Amino acid sequence: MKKVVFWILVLFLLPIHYINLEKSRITKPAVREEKIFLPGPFLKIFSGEFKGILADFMVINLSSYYGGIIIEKKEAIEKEFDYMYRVLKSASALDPYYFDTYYFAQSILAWDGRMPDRAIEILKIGSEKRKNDWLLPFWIGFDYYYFMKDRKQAAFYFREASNRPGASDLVASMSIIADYEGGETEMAILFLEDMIKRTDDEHKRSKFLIRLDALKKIRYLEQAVENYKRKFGMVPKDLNQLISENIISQIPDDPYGGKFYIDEQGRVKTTSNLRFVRKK
Amino acid sequence: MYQTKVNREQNNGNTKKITFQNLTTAIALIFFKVSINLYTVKEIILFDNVSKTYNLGLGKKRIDVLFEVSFNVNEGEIFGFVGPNGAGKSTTIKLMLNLIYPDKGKILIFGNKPDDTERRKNIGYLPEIPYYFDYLTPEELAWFSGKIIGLSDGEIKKRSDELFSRLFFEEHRRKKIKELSKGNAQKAGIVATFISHPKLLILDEPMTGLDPIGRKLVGDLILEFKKRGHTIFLTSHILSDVERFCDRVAVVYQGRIKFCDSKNNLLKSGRNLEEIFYEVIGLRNSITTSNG
Amino acid sequence: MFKRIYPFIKVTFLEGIRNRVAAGVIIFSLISMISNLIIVNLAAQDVGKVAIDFALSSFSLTGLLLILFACGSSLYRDIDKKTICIVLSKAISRKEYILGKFFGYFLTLFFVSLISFLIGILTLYLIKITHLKYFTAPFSGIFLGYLFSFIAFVLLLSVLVFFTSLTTSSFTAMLLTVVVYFIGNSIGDLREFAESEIATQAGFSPVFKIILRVVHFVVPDLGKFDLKIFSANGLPVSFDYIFFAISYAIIYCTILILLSMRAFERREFV
Repeated sequence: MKKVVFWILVLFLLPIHYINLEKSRITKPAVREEKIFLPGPFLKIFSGEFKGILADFMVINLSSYYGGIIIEKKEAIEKEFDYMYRVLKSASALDPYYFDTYYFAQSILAWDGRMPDRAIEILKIGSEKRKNDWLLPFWIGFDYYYFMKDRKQAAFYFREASNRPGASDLVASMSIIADYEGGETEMAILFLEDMIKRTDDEHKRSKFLIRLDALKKIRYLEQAVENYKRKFGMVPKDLNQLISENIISQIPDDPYGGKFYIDEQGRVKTTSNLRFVRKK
Repeated sequence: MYQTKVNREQNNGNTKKITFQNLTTAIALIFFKVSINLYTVKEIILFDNVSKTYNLGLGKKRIDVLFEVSFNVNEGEIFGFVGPNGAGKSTTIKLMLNLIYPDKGKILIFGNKPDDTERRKNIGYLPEIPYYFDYLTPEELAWFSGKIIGLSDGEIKKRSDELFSRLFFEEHRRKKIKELSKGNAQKAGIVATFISHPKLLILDEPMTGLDPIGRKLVGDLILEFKKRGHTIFLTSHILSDVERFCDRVAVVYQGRIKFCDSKNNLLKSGRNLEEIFYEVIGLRNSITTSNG
Repeated sequence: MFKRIYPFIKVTFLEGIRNRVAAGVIIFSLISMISNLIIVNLAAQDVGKVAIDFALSSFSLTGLLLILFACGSSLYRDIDKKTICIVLSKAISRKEYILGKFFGYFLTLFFVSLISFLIGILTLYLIKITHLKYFTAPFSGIFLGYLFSFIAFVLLLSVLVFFTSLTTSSFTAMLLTVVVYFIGNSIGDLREFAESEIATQAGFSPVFKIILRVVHFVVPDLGKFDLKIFSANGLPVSFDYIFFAISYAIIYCTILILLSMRAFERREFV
């Protein structure tokens, strides 16, 4: 075949190839792959000398998995949190020293997934191994206080944290709050501010910032309720009473789209429960 | 081996005393040994009732490859080993080179068993199909061969230069062997073999696949080798080559030696090798019956 | 004896290093290091850990590739293409052949691993500089990780030489070496699991435990030389452990090579 003919043929075929390529693109429905994971011990055996890197990839994968859910649906459901729990548990079995596993256990499972017990379970593994790390017992302490309402355990873990090298003053502040009831919001605000400082990733930061905003508003309302209590000797039945009594000018908006209200015990809560409504 | 007898003083144990008497005996014995060597033809290769059987696979299928093979090759001879394919020629060579072991019988090369590495320094082997290290150059291959027998780098350079030029191989000496043609690869092998100045050459089908120039080169090498008083053992199925070069010939068929005699005797009997060959393998060629 | 082995070591080394595999492995190292630089940006916090894991894991992979495809293919060419006959017909004994092969390939492994190692260390250093806050593991631990990985390569090499001395097909030898690689890496964890509470609760028979112990004794415990988790997380390794592990490697290689020499003596090359 003559050289010219050959090249003309090739040049002719290429644009057709391009058209084929573009026309046959399908956007597959976003099926998020939940891979079946073997429990820790089995995974360890099968991954041989690549345990560490497998743990790394599992956690990195998890991060993008969750990120995808948030972008698309705004909130994850229990089934998805279940899966993430299993992944993090396996990762902690493969390499219990890997910090990021615990980072996600705390930020995703404890907070978003409302599975503080599972978060604590995983964090304890990390706290055991990473003996020079004060953050992990610190988070356990926080989880016990804020979510599990267990002051004793909280105090225990805060003490543990303060004994570890590099423990920041934050631990001390938290310990003080932990001795009292009702300091959840304050503690959560301190905790979140610390998390925000530690996080460079914009997406994660924005999540924390939204929550921080909500909590600050709750604190604002709580302080208003305190004022009311001092003035009238009892807690208001409705938050609007705060406005009518001129303690605050308006009730702030819940960034999660819910409404702030006061419950029978006089605690400020929100109908959104600090969670977004999941998009269909 | 002859040992010099030395008297020992019995009392203090440590001192050795050589008496005058024993010294003269020793010297006499040495002279005797030397003169024996001068007058006795050295047996370079000896096969004595050698048998070899292969067990094929896991089953009981046994193949008798060599059966009670006996022959010897003397110093300075060119010994030809002919036979059809599968007769046992390669097996014989492998037995000599310590690549396989005999089931029965005795094999001696330079008076020792084939696994003696010191003696093997004197053997040069050229395989039928040249397989050498793909990524080495002929120069490195020659260096390797030389170093194994203990030559210095300078000596190796001298000898390899000489061999490379003799074989008209200068331009290829630095190329990787896998890039060389088959003929050139064979030349590389020849250099590597001759660099050790062997006293025994074992050639397996040396003329296979060579062009006329190659055949001339190898033929010259063989004759020169013989002129220096060294020994050659070769296998071939080109009967005319064998007739041309060899002093003694053995015909092997189905693992047995059917004929073994010197070329002179063959000529005297008026027959030629081809006749004997066909006789041995049981084929009578009517065309050659004109020779009687 | 050394005089005869030395040229053969050199020749084996040259054969091992001049085939394309060595070059390919180095290119693989470069590619994986570039990937490393990119991937660390995905890590949440513990950038150092992910980077070191990645570097050491790809180093392990290069070792495996080298042994199988550089040493393995070189042995294939020797045995299947009969170069071995020519070498053995020279004044070199069977034992010397095995020793020469082993040390020649050892040198091949060493030099290619060295280049791979340097590429890896350079990359890790770059990552450390750009992510200083998140890269806390000391380089001494990283060096130890690389060293022990290399020792694992040498162990696997002795396994390859051993199987080569036994089987007639170099493919079989390579396959068996791969099998030993997998068993060697998981046997430590298998035993740990079998002797754990979960297993006893699930009713693992004691026979199984004994079998595992035997396997553990026979097969090289490559898991001993996988220090990636220690290197990546900056965990200390006790001197005792290092001493006994290295001693284990030396003894195991010696035993295997001696057995190989013995087995090789009896081989026939049909």
